[in-house]
Amino acid sequence: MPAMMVDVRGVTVKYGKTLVLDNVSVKVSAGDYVGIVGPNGSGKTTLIKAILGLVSCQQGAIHIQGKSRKAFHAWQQVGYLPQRHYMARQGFPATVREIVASGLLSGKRFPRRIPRSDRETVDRALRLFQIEDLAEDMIGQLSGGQLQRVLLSRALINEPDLLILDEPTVALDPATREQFYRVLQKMNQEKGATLLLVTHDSHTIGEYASRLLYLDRKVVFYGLFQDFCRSREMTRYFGEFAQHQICHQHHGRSGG
Amino acid sequence: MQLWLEAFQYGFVQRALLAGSLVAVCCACLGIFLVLRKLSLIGEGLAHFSFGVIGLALLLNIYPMYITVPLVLVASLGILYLSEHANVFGDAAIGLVAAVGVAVGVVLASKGGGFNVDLFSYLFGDILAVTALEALSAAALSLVVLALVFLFYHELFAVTFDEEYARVMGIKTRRINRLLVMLSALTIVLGIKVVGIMLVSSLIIFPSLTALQFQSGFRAALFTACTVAVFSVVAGIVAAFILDVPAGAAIVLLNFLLFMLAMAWRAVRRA
Repeated sequence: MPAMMVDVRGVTVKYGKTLVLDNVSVKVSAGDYVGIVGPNGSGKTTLIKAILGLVSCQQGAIHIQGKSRKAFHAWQQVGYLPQRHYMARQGFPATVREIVASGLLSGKRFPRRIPRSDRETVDRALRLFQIEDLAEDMIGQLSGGQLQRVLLSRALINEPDLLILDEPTVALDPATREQFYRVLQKMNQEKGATLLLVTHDSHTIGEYASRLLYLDRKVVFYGLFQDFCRSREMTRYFGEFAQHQICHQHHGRSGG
Repeated sequence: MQLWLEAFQYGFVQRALLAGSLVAVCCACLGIFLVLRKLSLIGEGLAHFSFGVIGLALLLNIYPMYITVPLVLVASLGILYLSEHANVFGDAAIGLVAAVGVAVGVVLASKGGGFNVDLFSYLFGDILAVTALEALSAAALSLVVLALVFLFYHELFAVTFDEEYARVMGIKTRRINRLLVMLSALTIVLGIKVVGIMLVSSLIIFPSLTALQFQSGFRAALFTACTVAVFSVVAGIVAAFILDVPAGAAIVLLNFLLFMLAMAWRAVRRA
């Protein structure tokens, strides 16, 4: 039985008086590829921020690799791609190489240093999304898609065991999106990385993810894709057409 | 030509150059982080707050540095606390602390018989009157600031670019924020002697803005800001000596000139 990577137990999160997550429990095993979907305001981003320790929970507990979140310090094993708020960083005076290299800091202790010997690691991360030609370009002068690839390279630089991505394909053109999903699939299948991917792209995620988490403040569904597709309860919840839309790509992949 | 060379032979000019250059480098280093985090007005706020503290020191006949350093450090943490815990936006917290400082300063100055020469020297700076002890203490404090910036460079960089991601990387972002504002407080106190309360924030803002025109990487921006800052202080002091104008104002105006030149260079390059 694969080890538990993330264990969310009865987590409740409120912003002021607004209930955002209501008693959410999710167990993610090592090697799982979980697509997190749900309507706007359903708590998808809040859930991953709670896992990462960026928002505090009013109730419940979160364990990563068997350790409570506060006792977990191996952050170099976690890669994260935040939502696209960083467009506000336009004009920031850093090169692509400097930004990607900064991802290495999570594996270092005080005094954190990035020696020249890490250059090859940075080059490898840049090659993942074919952005080595942009290495010396300024981060603030990139297009949205280029910027997204840079931040993905930063998230993947430590070859993390757990990768958490918040709407990663928003700014990507179809070809880059396809390439991006292939890289994630490779990480999942060949290196056994665990993926949590928040997306509105619920039609496409079925092609890649093995599990689906449908959130609407509560867990509406969490389990294998094929179980979701067969579930009569989900048919009642979503309607036959919407369920078919989500399942269509998954059937395509599995030949179902 | 001979006159400006002659300037370097005077002890008071040498002291001013030593203290001014080190303080300028501190201001420029921290300025890049503060400007990019939209915190550059913290210099203005803390400088205004220090007006009250200096007024208190002069009234009590205490050497101002002794109480300005600790009290401005506390004020810097107060600004951070207000913006993090009291639902007060950062700029409002800065304005609040600045206003209290100025109000206290005015009250104390009125009790002390009005604005005297000492208080004026702190308002507008008097770097050519720096004593050997002041120059040495400024140098020592500057080295502490620079050493800490060097030690925490990567953390400061990560927090400046993306604070949320920095937290995910295990960086204690609150500690880094505290470090940044405390180093800023220390640097502001040092900068007051160079250009005065009214102009010290310009030492933080101008070299950084000039460096940002060149867009050539973060380390390069830091290096450019430091170079611009030191050049403006050295040239400003020499200009003040030759033209017999206040050194603080000369330094700021020179900084403005360099900024305009950098902007023009960028515009020409883009055309």
